[in-house]
Amino acid sequence: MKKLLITMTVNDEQFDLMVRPNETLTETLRERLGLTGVKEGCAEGVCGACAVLMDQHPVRACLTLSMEADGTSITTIEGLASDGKLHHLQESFINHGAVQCGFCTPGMIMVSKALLDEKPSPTDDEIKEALSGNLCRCTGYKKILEAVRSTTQIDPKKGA
Amino acid sequence: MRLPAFDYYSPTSIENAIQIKNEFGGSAVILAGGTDLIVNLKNRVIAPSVVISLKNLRELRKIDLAGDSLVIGAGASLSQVACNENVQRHFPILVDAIKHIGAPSIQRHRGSIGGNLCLNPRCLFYNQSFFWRKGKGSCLRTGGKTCLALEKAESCQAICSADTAPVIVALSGQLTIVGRAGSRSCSAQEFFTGKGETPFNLGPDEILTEIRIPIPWAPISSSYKRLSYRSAIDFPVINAACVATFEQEKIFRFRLVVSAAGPAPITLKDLESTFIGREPSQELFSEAEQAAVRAVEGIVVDNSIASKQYRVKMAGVMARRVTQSALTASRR
Amino acid sequence: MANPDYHLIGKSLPRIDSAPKVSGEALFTGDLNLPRMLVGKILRSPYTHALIKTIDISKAKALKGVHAVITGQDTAGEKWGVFKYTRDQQLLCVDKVRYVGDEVAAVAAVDEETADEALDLISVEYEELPGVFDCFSAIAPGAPVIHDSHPRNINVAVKIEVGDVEEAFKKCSIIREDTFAADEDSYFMMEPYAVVANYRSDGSIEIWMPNASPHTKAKALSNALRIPLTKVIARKITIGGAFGGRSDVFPAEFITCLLSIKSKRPVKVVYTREENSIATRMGHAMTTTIKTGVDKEGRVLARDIVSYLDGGAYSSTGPIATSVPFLCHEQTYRLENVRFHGYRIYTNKPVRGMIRIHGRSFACGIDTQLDMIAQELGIDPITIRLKNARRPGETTATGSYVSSCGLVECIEKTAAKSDFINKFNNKKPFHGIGIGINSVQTGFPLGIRGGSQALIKFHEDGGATVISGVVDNGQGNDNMLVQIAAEELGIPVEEIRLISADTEITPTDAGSYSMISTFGGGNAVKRAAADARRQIFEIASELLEADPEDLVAKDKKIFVRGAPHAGIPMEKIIRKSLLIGRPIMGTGSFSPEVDQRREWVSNPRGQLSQAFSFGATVAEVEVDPETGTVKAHNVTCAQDCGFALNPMVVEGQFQGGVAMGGQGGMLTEAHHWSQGHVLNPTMLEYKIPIIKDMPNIETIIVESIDPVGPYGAKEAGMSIAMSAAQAYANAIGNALGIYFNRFPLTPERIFDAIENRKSGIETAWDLEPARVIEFDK
Repeated sequence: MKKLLITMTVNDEQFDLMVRPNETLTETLRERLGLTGVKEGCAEGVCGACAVLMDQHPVRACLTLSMEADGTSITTIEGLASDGKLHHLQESFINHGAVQCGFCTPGMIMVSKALLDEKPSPTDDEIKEALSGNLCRCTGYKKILEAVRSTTQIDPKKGA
Repeated sequence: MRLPAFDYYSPTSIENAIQIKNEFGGSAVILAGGTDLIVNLKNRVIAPSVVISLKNLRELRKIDLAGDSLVIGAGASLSQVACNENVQRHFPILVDAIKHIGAPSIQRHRGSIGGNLCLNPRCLFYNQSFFWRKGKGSCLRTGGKTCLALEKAESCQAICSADTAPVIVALSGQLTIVGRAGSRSCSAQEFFTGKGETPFNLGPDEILTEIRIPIPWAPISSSYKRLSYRSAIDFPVINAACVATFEQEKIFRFRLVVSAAGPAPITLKDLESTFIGREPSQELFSEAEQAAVRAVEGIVVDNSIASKQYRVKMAGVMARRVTQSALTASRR
Repeated sequence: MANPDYHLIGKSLPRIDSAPKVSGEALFTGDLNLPRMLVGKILRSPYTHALIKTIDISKAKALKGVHAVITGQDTAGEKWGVFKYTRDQQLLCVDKVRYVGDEVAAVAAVDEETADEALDLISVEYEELPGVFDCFSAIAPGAPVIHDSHPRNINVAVKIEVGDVEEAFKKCSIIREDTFAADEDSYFMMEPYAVVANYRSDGSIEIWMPNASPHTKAKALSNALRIPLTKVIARKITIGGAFGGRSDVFPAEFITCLLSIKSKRPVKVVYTREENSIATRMGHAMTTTIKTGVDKEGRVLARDIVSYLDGGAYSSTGPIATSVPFLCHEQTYRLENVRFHGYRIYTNKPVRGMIRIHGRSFACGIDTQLDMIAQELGIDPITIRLKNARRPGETTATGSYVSSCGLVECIEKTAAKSDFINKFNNKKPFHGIGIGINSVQTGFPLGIRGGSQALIKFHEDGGATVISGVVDNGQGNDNMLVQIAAEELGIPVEEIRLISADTEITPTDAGSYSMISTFGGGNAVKRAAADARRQIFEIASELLEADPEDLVAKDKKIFVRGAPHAGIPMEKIIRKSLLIGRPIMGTGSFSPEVDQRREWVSNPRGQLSQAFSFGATVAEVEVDPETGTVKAHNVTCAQDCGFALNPMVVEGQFQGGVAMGGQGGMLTEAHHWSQGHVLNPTMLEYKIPIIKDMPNIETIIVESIDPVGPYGAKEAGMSIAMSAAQAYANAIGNALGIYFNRFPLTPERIFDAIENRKSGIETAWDLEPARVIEFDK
C-alpha cells in the first residue's frame, strides 16, 4: 500500500499531500491539517458531525476516501469566518442558543451553509429536510431550526 | 475506525476498469459514492485488496434518452438522478424513492444510483464490527457454516435494503453489465439472486454500468412507500413499489414489488395477470395485501430491529397502500 | 421572568462557550495532541461470561512500535465501586470476564494501525461459562452466579416502608395492581468517550476526559494508581454531552494512566461508538409492579411497589439507581402509606448507570396506572393529578421537606395551554393527548459531600477570574457561573474569565450530577462574588465617603445608589486595593443542608436534597393504527426550575428533554439483544430522534423562587425529560384506548397491542410481575 499524492484546496489554501489509499478525509483533515473542528461522532456516516463541504456540497468526511477528494475544494468549519469575523450562521447559532455541548455544531453549520448557498430563503420543511442527517442529542433541534431560519431573512447583498 | 489496507485505482475508461477488475477478480471492489462500501470496509465485513474508484469515469454519470428508454449511468449521483428532468417527467416514483435514502447530506451528492442498487444486503448479525462478530462466531457470509439469524438456513438471509431496488424492478428496468466478455443486459429482477452471500448477478470481472428504464407508451400510475422508524438516516423496515397502466378505466398492466423482506425484491407475479382488466376497488387492494403477506411469509427472518411477524404484516400494509395509491393517483 | 433588580440574571444572554464551539476552536478530548503521544487501545472480552485461563502478550510486546502492554497482572486486581460496599469491577479483568466488552488487556503504540495489530497479537484463552441475560432468570434458583459474593445475582436490595400500607389498602375503594417493563436505553451523547493521560517525571499525572466530576475522578484514580491525590490532575476540557453517562469512573481512565506510566509518554484512547455504548454505561432495563389503592375521589391512600432493575455485570451507581425512581415518585406525589422493594440484579450484560430518564417502567407505570384509575372513577387525568400532586411546605414519605414547589402551577399551565380537557373530552379518532408529571432532586447526599467552593480574583484592568470546580458537560454550567459572577460584581460577562474543573487549581465541587451544579456551584460563586463585592465596597466607601450599604456595582463602576455618573471605575478600586495591601480575593462555599446520616440502603430516611424541581408535560400525538407509527404533533412542557437564570438556556434544556425523554425515550430508543450481545450498539440502529420527526414544542417556565437556590434557581430540564416520556405514553394510550405497559412504544409494540386488544381497563400485555424476594438466612 503505497502513499499517493493528492492536491486539495482546504479553506482556500492549496495543499499537496501524500496520503494512504485507505485514509479517510476525516483523518487527513484532523490529523494532517489539524482541522479538529471536523468531529467524529460515529465513523459510519450517521451522525453528521464530520460534515464538510466538497465543492460546495455537504459530504461525510468519515465516508470519503481522501483519494476521492483529490482536486476538490474543501471547506471546514475553520474556514467559515473571514477577516476574523464569524459567518452570520455562526453568529446566529450563538445568539439563538442553538449550541449546547457543541459536538454536533460544526456539522450542523456546514450543512446549513450548503443549504443557504443553494437556497437563500428555505422553508422550515426544507431546513429540516437538509438537516435530517445531522444528529443532536442536547437541543431537541428547536433552537437550531430557529438559528438557521433567522439567517434566511438576511439580505445577502448587505451581507452579515 | 481505520480502514484496512488496500491498493487504490481510479481508471479513466470502462475498459481499463474491467481490466483491473479482471486482474484482481473477487478481491477488487468498486467504489462509487462509498456511503455503503466504506462502512463495510471499516467493519471488515469485506476485505478487498484493491479498491477501484469510478470517480474518473464521467461516461458512467450520463442520463440520456435513448430510443424508448431512459438510460441512467450507474455512477450518476442520487441528486443528479432526482433532479433530472426526464426522470422527473417519466418516473416520479424513482425521485420519490431517492428522497427516502439515508439523508440529503449523506447520500445525495456522494451516493450513486448504481451504488444504491448494489447496496450490500443487511443483517443485524452481519453489519457489526469485527470485534462484535468475533464474539458471535462467523456466519454464512463471513466464512462460517451457520446463519446466525436462522439456524437451518442454507444461504444468507440478509435484507435487500435499497430504496431504489423495488422501484427499478417495478419499472421493468434493464441493467447493462460490462465484463471481460463484453456487455450484457440483465433484467433488474434477475439481477438480484436471492442469496445474501452473492446477492447480485455480477461476475468477478463485471461492472454495472447503466440502468435502462423503458418509457411506457401510456401514462403510468405509480407509488413507492416505505416504513421506517425514523424519517431519515434509516433503512426501510419494509418497502413496496407499484406501477400500473390503464386502458379506459381498467388495469392494463400491473406490477407490485415488495422489498426489504429478504435478500431480493419480491415481485408479486400472480397479480400481474389476475389484476388485468379489473377496476381499482377496496377488494382489489386487500388482495394485494394478502398476496404480499403470503409471498414474504417464508422469506422474512428475525434479522432486523423489527420482528419477523411485524415485518410480514407490514409487507401486506405497504403492498396495499402502494397499490391503492398507484391505482387511484392521477396518471402520468 | 425579568426581575428589575437584576441587570444580567434572568436574561437570555448567549452562552460564553458558544463562540469557540461554532468556530471549531473548542477542543474535546479526542482533539488533543501532545508531543510523542501514543495511541492506546483496549482488548475486550468477546464473550458474555468466561474464565480467563491464560493471556499471552509476548508477541504484542515484541511488535515494533509498541511501547506498553498491560493486563490484570499489572493492576494488583484493583477494583472500582462507587461505594465501599459495591467495589466489584476489576479495572482490568484478572480471572473472569462478565460481559461482552469487559476490559482484558491494553496496548500503547505509535499509531492506530500498530495498536490494532498489537491487540490482534494478544492471545487469550477463555473457558466460556453459561450466562444470564434478564432479571427473572438471574434470580432463579440454580442460575449461573456472576459474582461469587452475591448468590442469586442480587446486587442491591432496597426496602422502604412508610405508614401502614396493609391497613391503608383496607380503606381503599379501588385497588389495582399492574406490571410495567422497559428495555435498556442509552445516552448516545454526541462525543464518543476518550481519555488522554500524561505521566510526568515528577510522578504526577495529568488526565483529560469527558467527565461529570473531575474531583471524583481524581480521587478514584489516586486510590487505584496509588499516586497521591495532589499529583493526580484532572484537567478541564470541552465535553460533548453526558446525560448521566459520564458520572461513574471507568476502567479506561485507569488503563490510559497505566499505559502512560509504563510507556512514560502521553497516551490517548478514543472509543469507537460501539465501545462508548458497551463499555461506559447504559440505562437499566426494568420491571415494576405497582399496586395502588385510592379513595372515591381518586386520592392515593396506599401504594406497594416492587422493581427489578437489570444492572448488568457490575454495581456502578447501583444503590442510587435502585432508589431514585422511587424517590422521584415520592417527591411528585403525596403518599402516606407506601412500600418499595427495589432489587438491582446482575446479568452478563454491559454495566448500567443513571440516565436522564432513569426508570421508564416506574415513572410511566405510575402515570399510566393513574390514568387507568381515573377512568375507573370517571374523572380526567388533570383532576386526579391535582388531587395527588405535591405542594410546597409538605414532607415526602421518606422525610424530605419540600420548601419550594410549583407542581400545581405546572399542571395547570400545561393543561390550559394545550387545551387538555377539551381535547381529552372531544377526542378525534387515533389522536391522543396525555400528561406526565415528575420531580427530581438537586443533589444527593453522597454526591454533595464537601459541597462546592469558589474563588474570584481580579485583574488591574478591573476584570475578574472566577475559579470553580464545577464542570460543564454541555448544559451551560460555565456560562451559569460567569453570568452569576457578572451580576454580583457588576462586571460585563466578557470581562470575566473562568477557570473551572481542573483539580490542580480549582477547589472541590460535588460534580455535575444529581442536578446540583446551579444549586451548589452557582451558590458558591454567588457567595464568592458577594464576598469580593463586600471588599470592593469597603475600599469604594472610603473613596466615595459613603456607607458600603448604599453602594451599587454596575457596568464596571461602583457608585452610590442613584448616582451612577459619580461612580469609581472598578480598575481604580482594584489598583487601590493593591496599593494599600488589601488585595481583593473573593471566596465562597456552599454545602446544601441534607441529612448526612441518610444512606441509600441502610438508612433511606431524612432530608435527601435541599430542593426539588417539578415538571409537567403534555403530549399530543396521532397514531397510524395500521402500522403502529406515531406522529407527535405538539408538546407543551412546564417546569418549576425555581428561577430561570438564563431563560434561553432553560428552554434549551426543556426542548432537549422532550427529544430525549419523549420523542426518543418513548418511541424508538431501546437496545435489542441476542444472548447478551447488544444488536444495536451504534447510531444507525439505536434510533435517537432527528429534526424532521420532532413535534412543535411549547415551553413554560414556572418560577417558585426557592429560598436557598441562587436567585431562587434549582435545576432545569430533568423533570421535563422524565415527564415527557410519561406524557407520550399516556397520549398514545389515549389515542387508542389502550393502556401500555412495555416501553418504549415502538411501532411494532403498538401494532401488537392493537391486534390483541383487551376489553376493560387492563394493561396491554400480561407481564410477569416483580415480586418481593425472600432471602435464605
